Amino acid sequence: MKNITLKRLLIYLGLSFGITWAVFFLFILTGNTWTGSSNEMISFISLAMLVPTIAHVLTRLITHEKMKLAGEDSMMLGIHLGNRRGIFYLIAIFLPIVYGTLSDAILILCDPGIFDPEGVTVFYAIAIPLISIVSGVILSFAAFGEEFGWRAYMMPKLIELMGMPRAVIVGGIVWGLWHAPLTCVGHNFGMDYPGFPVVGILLMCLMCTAMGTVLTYVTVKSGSVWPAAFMHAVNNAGASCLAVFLRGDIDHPIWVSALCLIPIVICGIIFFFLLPKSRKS
Amino acid sequence: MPGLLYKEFVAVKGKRLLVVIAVILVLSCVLRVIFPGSMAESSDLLSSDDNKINLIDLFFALAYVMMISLTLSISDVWGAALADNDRDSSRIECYVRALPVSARDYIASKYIFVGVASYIMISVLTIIGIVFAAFSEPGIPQDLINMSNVMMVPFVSMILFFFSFGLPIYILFGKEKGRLVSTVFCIALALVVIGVALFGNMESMSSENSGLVLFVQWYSSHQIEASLASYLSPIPVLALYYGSYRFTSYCHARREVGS
Repeated sequence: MKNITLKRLLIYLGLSFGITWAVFFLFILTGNTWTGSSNEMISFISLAMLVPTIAHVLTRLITHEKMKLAGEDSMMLGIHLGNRRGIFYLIAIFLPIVYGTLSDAILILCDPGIFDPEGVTVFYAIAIPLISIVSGVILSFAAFGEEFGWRAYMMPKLIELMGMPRAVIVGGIVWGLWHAPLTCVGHNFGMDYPGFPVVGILLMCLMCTAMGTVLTYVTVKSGSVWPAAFMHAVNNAGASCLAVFLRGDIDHPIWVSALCLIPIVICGIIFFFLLPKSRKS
Repeated sequence: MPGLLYKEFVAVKGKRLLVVIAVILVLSCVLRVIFPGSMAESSDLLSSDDNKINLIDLFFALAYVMMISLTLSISDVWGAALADNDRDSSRIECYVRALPVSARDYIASKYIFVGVASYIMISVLTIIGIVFAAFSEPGIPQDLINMSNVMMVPFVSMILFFFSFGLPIYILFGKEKGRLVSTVFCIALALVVIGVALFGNMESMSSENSGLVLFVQWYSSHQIEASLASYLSPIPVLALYYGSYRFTSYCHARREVGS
């Protein structure tokens, strides 16, 4: 049984990495970089987030796995709010604001020059994080595209193969490596830092492992991929109460970016210990 | 609930609809990639303020705006598709009572289905918008696509707002009567607008103290706040949508007791 699961997982990873990296390399070979491209081109390449979903569906078709929407061994698409499961949706939606705000606080502490409260009203400070939540949830299709692959297919297979604690770490590293081509052209950390791009890829793996732990927790506990999709979307929307106070035109060194990961890493550690340890969870 | 949702999926001819949406999505994206804006740089038009307008980009921008408008305008057709035919209404009513689901679940399935369908439509439109914008040259058409993409959240609010009023009419009155009620409402609204335009005191509307002018002045000075507030519009609209569901469930339950 484990052999079949491993084969299925490898097919999924092959498809997911193969298609995505092909798209990313096409983007890079046509002379584009993350920092040097237009916003429109960045949005376009972000559509590669849908590839894990395509890989998930293709793998199920190739391996003749059931396409059950909800329940055991399913695609985890159901939404169950009973038995206090609704709380995991709330955690998923509001937690990115907490660690996002703490990250921005670290950023301000490390580089006070970035703090610019001029022209910011209370309305902005409240509205911007709320807008991140609303637009994140409504336009969560891209985040869903990733989560439907990683959380609804890869993680259950990894958990079955190696148990929860190792699965979370391996899954995070795999997810981080999936971003590697983009990290090499400036995604998240830019291109001008010592140890480029290896340090960036390592930091990305760390971030993905920490965030992946929280995402796996909300998926396992709610029995649905939707909380993870919402959390990923709100995270990508940059939800933070301090975001409006930050100047956008200042670059900061890689060690500041690394320090800004502390809140999500702490969240990851907390949720790592909260995760159920059994393989059947 | 999954069974009820599948029933709605069949009622709106979901499989056919999904194929059509997938074909439109793939075809429009492929066409945009084959015909990028850079192909037509030599045939640029000049606008009144000497900005160049790329003809191919303009075509795709207008097609995109039309897709969005069409989605909004067919929302009434969805509502009607989810309603029961008048002549089958009593038969379906008896059938629903025989099912192992409550009447409230039956109503909820229609509201959830509309929510899911709106999510899918918005996602597809956003993907098309991103592809169209990525292959456009900087200029007015690209701005138009970007603006439409940015308006997607208020657009969702608009769809759910319409359904908050449309669904109770269709569910409670049935397909034909529901259509009649919505047509009468639209005609009445049009008559009021024509009446105001023909017989109303239009001069007072343009005077400095009229509500409309004051509103435009307020909007001009608070444009950013108003835009931000429009992004938060899904919150009150979702509350209205939930209220609409509770109202429809209440009326449906009363009708059951009455019958």
